[in-house]
Amino acid sequence: MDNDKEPGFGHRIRSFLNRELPSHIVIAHKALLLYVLITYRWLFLDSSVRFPFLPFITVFDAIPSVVYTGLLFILFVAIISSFLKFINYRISSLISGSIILILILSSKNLFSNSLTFVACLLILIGLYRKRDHLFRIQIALLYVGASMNKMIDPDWWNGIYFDFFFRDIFDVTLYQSWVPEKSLAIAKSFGIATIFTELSLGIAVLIPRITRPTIIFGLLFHISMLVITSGRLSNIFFYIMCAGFLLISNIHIQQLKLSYKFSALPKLLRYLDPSDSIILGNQTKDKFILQTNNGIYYGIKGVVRLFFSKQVLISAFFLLFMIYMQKGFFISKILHPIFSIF
Amino acid sequence: MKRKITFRKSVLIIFFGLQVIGILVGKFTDARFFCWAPYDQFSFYEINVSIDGHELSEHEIIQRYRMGKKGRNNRNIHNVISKVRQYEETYSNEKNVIVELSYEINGQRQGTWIWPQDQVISK
Repeated sequence: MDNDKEPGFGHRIRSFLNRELPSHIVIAHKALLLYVLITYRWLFLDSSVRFPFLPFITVFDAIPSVVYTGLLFILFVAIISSFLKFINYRISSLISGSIILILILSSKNLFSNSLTFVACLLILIGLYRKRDHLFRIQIALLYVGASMNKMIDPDWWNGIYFDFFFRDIFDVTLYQSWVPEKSLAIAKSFGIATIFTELSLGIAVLIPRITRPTIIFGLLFHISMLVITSGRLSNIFFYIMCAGFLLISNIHIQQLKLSYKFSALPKLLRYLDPSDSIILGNQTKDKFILQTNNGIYYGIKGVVRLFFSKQVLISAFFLLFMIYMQKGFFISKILHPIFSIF
Repeated sequence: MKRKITFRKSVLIIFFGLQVIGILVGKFTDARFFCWAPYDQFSFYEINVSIDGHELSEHEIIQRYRMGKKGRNNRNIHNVISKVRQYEETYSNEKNVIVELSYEINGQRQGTWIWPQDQVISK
């Protein structure tokens, strides 16, 4: 007989408001919000951006523009509150994902597969409980959908798509110099390989036993596109997929306990830690101390261990990759003003 | 043991169900929006609009459709056509609007979509 009491509404609300998410999901959540904040900054900064405009659902045309401005404001506050750790991450994810989806539905011009996928992942982080199968289904739908769309297009089977892609769109010199014009054999094999790679990724991601090889295979697939196009195609999608793969990775990020004679330093590090996995230890008399499940590290060894911890490396990857993608913005709007002071 | 369908589960079923429908519907429609079709075709296009015989400038076209007169589209060309068509059907209040959207898909197939006939003429 099942003696478990049915949880009450209060319990359900408390469990919903529970801020705690595994650290890898917290990092992915913030990486996705960073993408929205930086890549779509014009949504918040450009006053000429008006919603609705050519909505997918006609009823959105009847909603006054001020409502969308309010939604943009809430989206901005939700993102900033997440970075500043003022808000429950699940709620922030649900709010951000839902608002992004509403904005996309209210403007065909805003539609992009990347932004839609980010909105879906954010909503799923909001609905996440303990198992990662939600993210697996989402990634599977993306890859299977992408593969099926290519399957019905003859240009993907006969090589026309990739021949045009290599010669005219991305100017791939290696292809142009080695493959004679009108020879579509190589392009054809690329097209077929892409269709089956996406289809197999879509199926493999649903099998938890082979998660690691699937992630490696998926990352190699996206990296190969970056390499072939000299970083011009798919860097945004690579970033987003890294966050997506992180969500299903089950990577264990262990807590780090920091102690130092000046308590402000561990406090600052804890505040800057996007994974929420740094905790404060007791104030020490002298050396910096880092305590993990595996042992205690003193002084410089502790600092090195901190910088090579999973949470720091993964977070740094997302931040640096975002800076790389938006280097023009970071140079002109952040670095240049800082250096111009001196 | 009976499994309860909670509100959360219902939301998830609808959420994923809509995406599956999107993928399936995408097989039968020209425009491909919510069917996960990134970079499925490349097309170059040019939009020409005349209102009462007056040819719109590049700036006027950007103001009108919030997209350039000429451009490259990384998704199905019918996504672009769908926007221009929707604008003309819903927002445009001028008479005698003639739109010609010429395009080339994957460097091979050329065509022109014309409004108000709402027809595609393949070349």
